Amino acid sequence: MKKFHETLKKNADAVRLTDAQRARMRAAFLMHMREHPAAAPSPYPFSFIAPFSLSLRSGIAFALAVLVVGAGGTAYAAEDALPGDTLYAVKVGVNEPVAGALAVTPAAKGAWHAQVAETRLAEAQTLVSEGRLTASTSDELAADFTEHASRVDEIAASLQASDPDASARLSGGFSAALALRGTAILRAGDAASSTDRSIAARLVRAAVGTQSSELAMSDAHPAHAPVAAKMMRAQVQAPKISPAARVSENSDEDAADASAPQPQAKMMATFSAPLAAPAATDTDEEPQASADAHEDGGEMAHAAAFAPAAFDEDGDSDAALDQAIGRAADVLDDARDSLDASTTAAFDAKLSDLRLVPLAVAADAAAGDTDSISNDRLQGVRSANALSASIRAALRDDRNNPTISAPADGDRQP
Amino acid sequence: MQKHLEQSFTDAFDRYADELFRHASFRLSDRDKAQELVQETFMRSWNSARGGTEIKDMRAFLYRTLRHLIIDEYRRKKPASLDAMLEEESASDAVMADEHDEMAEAMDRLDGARALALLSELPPAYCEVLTLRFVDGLTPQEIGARLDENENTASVRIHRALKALRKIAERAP
Repeated sequence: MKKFHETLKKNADAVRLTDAQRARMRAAFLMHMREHPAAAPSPYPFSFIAPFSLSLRSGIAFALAVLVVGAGGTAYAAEDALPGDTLYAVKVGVNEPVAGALAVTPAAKGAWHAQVAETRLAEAQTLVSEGRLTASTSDELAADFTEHASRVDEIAASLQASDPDASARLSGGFSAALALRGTAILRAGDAASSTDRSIAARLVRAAVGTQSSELAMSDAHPAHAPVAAKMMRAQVQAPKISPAARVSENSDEDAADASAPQPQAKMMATFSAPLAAPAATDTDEEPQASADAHEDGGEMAHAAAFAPAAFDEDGDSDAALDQAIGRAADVLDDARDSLDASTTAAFDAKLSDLRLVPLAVAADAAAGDTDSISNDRLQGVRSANALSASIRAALRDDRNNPTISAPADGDRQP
Repeated sequence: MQKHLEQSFTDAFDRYADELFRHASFRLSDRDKAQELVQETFMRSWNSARGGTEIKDMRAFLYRTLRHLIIDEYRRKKPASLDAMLEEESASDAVMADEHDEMAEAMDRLDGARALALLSELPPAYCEVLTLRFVDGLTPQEIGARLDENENTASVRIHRALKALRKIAERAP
């Protein structure tokens, strides 16, 4: 009976949420708690949570917090203040910095920045739903959001080496929260006037754009992600037509003909193939790309086959984007068991970012910005394929270097 | 207070989300549904707490909420079976010692992974006790407390559940 018990337990323990799933649920739960706040101040009902640890620094911050909260409940009342309210200055100038001072570890600091960034979006959401979001308020919120969001990215990047899991949790959770907030803002905007809608869409665009565009080329140039994102935008607008693209155009004449009435669609068909394939026009990536083409011969053909048809019309290109993201998710799922936990977590976080892309497209659509729609779709498809390629590369490394994967396995089961 | 309450629930999420998900997975054999119910568990527990319900033991509270959601889920799918199951047995059934040993040996021959896959084919009440016993690792006494039954009833139900599991395992290819 003991043996039965043990094997059963071992198998059962393998069932757990993936980091991305956990991050998504956590973000949704946090949002639920914010939207349904505790009714009235009640005595602290939990005895099992340890009280604040009494390091000097957090002790001072705690004393400060008590002082602030004691000041006639002003700070407490300020929690729900919106831009334009008298107490908003207290919220942004006192409450938030105090909470920031309480966050000591880098991970907690990161979570705090993520929290503040999300609060800006939550404020925007409330304002949109009340029809009170003006362009200038939106710009202020977006600026503050961007400041904190970039700190989240920095902290996630700096944690990458020392604690990859925490890093992935931070950026994955943040992306998930953004996706939820962004969707909520767009939904609130749908019910509003067209001016409000376009302001809301612009804000979401700014918020989501800072995240997803940096993802795009972070694999190739981890240190220059923001620059790379700009470069890529330029690249998409003035694409080099590679031999692979010409081949795909010729071999898919029928598909190209079908889309001929829409010049833009035809143009897309021409250069979406090299973007969709793991092969990039970037010289840095070429060795990797050709290695992929050799090892995984079907992949190029597959990408070339689906890309021109995929960009024929609006509905289909969204499908192509979903498909590319879905494919990356599948590749990751297949790889999950073979890779060590922190590598998988890092990929999970990237995938989580990638899921923001359809939201960016939706924001563009709400704002009526057709150029950005196409760019975001292309970027999304490309990023998804880049992710698939790097997962496969990681798998290969894993296979070639059993010495590397062995200790990592050990880490997983301490 | 919102902050404190929120913090304690966030901590609870970080600590218990995985085990709740695991429990729900084996009860429902549907991971998407399990995820949904765990999410719902936290939201409902939060709603109770914010309405003023005092929660003394967070983990037990979460499990109780999840249990209600799982029962609702079963009721939606197959209306009568659960109640019928719960009434069918009584605590006066005793387990013979030799029968117990024979069972233990048979169980050791069973492949753990396959046994887990078969759990959800058992009647709900049996699936529940085996999940509590082997997946969550509770003792019969703890299971009794969790189900508001006495320890003896829990032991008997576990034994019967194992018997049923063995039957399914030996019948299936």
